[in-house]
Amino acid sequence: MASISARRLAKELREIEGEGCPVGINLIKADDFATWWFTIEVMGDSLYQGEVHTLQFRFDPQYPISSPAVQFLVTDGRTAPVHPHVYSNGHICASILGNEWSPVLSVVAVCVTLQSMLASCKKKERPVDNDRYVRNAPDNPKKVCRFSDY
Amino acid sequence: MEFDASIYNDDSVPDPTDFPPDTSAPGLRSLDGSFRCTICGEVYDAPVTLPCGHCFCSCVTMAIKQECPSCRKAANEGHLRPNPAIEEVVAAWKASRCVTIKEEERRRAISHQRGTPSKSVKKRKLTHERERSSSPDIECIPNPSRGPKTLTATNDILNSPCKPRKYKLSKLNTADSSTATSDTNEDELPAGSTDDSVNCPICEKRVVFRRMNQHIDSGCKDGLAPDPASANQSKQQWMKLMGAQQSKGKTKSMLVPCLHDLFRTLTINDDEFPLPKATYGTLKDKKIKEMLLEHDLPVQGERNQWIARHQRWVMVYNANLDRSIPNRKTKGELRRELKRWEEDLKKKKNSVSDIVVYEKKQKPEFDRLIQMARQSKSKTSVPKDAFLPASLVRISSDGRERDSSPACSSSSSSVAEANVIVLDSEGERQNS
Repeated sequence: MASISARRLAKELREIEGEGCPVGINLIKADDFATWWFTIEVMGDSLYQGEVHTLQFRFDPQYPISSPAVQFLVTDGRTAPVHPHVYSNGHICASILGNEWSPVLSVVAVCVTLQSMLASCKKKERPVDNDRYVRNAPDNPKKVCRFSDY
Repeated sequence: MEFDASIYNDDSVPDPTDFPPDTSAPGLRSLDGSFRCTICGEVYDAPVTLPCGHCFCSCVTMAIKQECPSCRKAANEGHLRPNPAIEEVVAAWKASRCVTIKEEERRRAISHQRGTPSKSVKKRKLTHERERSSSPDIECIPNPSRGPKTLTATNDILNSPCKPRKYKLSKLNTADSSTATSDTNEDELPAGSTDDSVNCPICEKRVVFRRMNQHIDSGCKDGLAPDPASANQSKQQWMKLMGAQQSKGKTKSMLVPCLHDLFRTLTINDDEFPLPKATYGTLKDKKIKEMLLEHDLPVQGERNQWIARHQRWVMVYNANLDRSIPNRKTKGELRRELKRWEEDLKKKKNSVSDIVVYEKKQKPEFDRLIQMARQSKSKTSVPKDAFLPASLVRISSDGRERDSSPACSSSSSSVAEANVIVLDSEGERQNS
């Protein structure tokens, strides 16, 4: 039997295939149950008009009990949006990706939350500790969340 | 957007999209969705409810952390209560799901064919005939309150020349439709057609069709003696009600489990209580072993494996108690599942299976790294990379790749930060 995470992700993927993603969100890569890529763009009036960013989801075998590692991709010409909660290396500071993750959330739900996070932004700027953070940040954003609680 | 179907691998995972969207079959897809746990996406297995009313599989025991995963209202594992009503609904749905899918497919296929006019006419005719044929179905049910009027109607129809065809049609109807038709009807009609007598709707005696009117006019005084077969039948029906019968359709057995359960609950000594959670850290090896042996669990492996095994056992054991008694698995089954779980775990985790042991083993390495971090803190001017072991360099260089500022190598990292990185890199290695 496939693991719980694979079964759950298979269901999510089927749903995306069947019903499509919400407006502004598109699945571009889901070759396995470890890494998925989405493009995300903010619709309507916002500071990010016309920008398309790529979100990467990485799942561990404990998903959905444990949260996915979500970040913006900053390779191959892709950029992270300039936002007070998004570091220049693509890492995102959002409660639902850390402490407040809940297993009832889904990949699409996370995308929508991040989309609205961007949409509600008032001023385009990097987080204040961006340089320090980026210098020390590990590859996987989830590792940071764990230790930033100290 | 192209998908590789192989991603789903061999065992197909049924999900609500097996049903067409609401536009073509209103409610079916969301119906299937509402029988599913919002955590694992499976049809509820051993459903439990929290005080806020949200329902989950027993998988919620792994996920619950002081709040309901759905609404974040305060809740803990102790608040979980089994939900037998949902369990019953789900059992019925599981049984009828395939039929519903097939039926829905058939319906869609028919409505596709409607494009051609001839078929369309045929279909409408069929429906029409069915509607008519369904009338004897309904009228035939012996119902004392309706009495003679019902009977006349039945009589007329059955006496009419087209009787055999009608009967056949109604039979077809019964066989076709997935929705359960009246059981009584199934029992009555064949009997009536074979020996030409039916149960009187008033006195329930067997009466020849043609004489039914006279029989009732006479106040149910004449007619055949009570049919032994019919008596037998009613006995059988009682047996069904008491849950002794098994072979008949699902719908019927679904109607009686309450009673059935009640009997079982009364007869089976329900002395099973949830197992308490143990604080393994305070227990001696011997005690943990005893706890395993108490449930006939194997004691091979090391302390950590015993703990993992016992923890899992407590979880599956308690989850099993959330099932209603007839659905519970035996302890033997649970033990087999536990064994399978452990084997799966072994297969998956060949990198770092035991964090504590790993930490102990790697302690000298950790100490060395910490030592180095302290040194680099005291001499901040020295380039960090010179002192760092390979794993650490990898992380920091990763960070730098993404960082555009050239000042990144000037180390301002405190001891705490350095520690964080060390632990991180280990964590990453575990995951990779």
